[in-house]
Amino acid sequence: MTSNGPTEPSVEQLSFEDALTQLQDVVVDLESGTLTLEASLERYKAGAELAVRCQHLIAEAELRIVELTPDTQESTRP
Amino acid sequence: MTASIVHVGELTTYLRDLVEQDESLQDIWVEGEVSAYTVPASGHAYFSIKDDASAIDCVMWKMIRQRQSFRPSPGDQVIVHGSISVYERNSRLQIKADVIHPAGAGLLQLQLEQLRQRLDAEGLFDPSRKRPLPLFPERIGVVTSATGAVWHDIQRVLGRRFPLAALVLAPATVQGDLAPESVTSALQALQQHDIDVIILARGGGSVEDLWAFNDERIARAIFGSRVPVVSAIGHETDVTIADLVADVRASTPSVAAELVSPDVADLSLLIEDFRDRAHDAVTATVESGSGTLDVLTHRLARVSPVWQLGVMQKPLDAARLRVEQAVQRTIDRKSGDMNRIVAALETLNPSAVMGRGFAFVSDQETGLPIRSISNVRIGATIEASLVDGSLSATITSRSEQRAR
Repeated sequence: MTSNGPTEPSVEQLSFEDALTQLQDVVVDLESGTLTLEASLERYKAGAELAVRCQHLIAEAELRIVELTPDTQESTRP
Repeated sequence: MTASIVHVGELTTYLRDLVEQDESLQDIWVEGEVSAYTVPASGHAYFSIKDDASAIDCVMWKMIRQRQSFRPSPGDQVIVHGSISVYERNSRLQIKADVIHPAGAGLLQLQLEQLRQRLDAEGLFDPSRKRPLPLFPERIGVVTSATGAVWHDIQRVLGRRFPLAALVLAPATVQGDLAPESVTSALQALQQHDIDVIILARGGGSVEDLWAFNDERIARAIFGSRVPVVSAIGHETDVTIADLVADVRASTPSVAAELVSPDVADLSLLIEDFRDRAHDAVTATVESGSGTLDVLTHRLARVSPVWQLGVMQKPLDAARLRVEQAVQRTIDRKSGDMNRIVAALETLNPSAVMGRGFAFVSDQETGLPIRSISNVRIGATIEASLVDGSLSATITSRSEQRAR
């Protein structure tokens, strides 16, 4: 499998949505039953990393607040 | 008109132009009692409204009539909005009505109804243009007062439910004369920022407090938003124009915050579910794979030399056993033979014979056995070997045995 080719971001850089979508793809692939044993194990490993990434993002997340000022420039409020 | 003779048609046209150029007659609310209400096959409604002093004809075109929530009957006291015109066939004045409403409502209410119908006709409330909300909004725009409980509630709900997102507040005045312009600007300002969805919210209040959200400018700003807008204005029973234009209407600001975001608690469960399913699927693959492996290993073993040797070992062992048994039988048989031979030999042992009283007689000079009396002459010395020694004897006589 080439899920981590040079042009694709590594798992550590994926957004939550992308990681979750890829995780779902892994599940669909694995459940299709069309993969070889070796490919299955590799996909499973990728899926496990994606799940960890998702859970990590949830655990670390902190709501960010941005307030637009009258001149519509963004200013981040602590 | 100049002081000259004119045709009726020219007069009527002149009167019609006179009426239609008067702006106050083109946007007028008239109250009266409905009489002679008819809807012929064309679908247009023809009726008149009257009071004790006067009456005036009204026409309402089919398309407009069909959008009215109120169906008037003769005798109803109504308020009609429309423009005054002159019907040229008989030069009678008429109201081209676009709104008809039961009497008793205030003018604001009537204007609201008129705006609602106009925007509806324009398609601003069309369900088919309402957009789905994003599943995982990264940036959520919020238009509300920066100082109210509403903003606090939205932050609280999203901080708990989906802290992966960023909230972008476009502060707005949400009450009073400045509100429509302020809210419209805030909605437009958010369009310049990279956001996925907008919450337009205001806490509960009187109908007057919420009135700004019936403003046409806000309606058009919502309609023009490039991302979906969720409205939460006042209480659930207060439906403003903004609510009607919004892609989704929420009953409260907190509900709006819930509608635009997934709950990380649900997402955690979803991730666990994915993890379990991936595990089950790969386990099933491995097990079916190792099942196949077992079969293949077995089949491979059967064609391997080791297996072949094992297979051949059995007949080999059997053959060896048979050979051994045959050899043993032969040995047994031969040893039986030998015993018999030994026994036979024993009977031939001269010593044994001599034990029974026989003697071995030989010529003393030559040592040759004497087999016949003719082998010896009288006077010769012979040796007789017995079982325990030998004797020398001299032949003194000999007699030939008679033939039997």
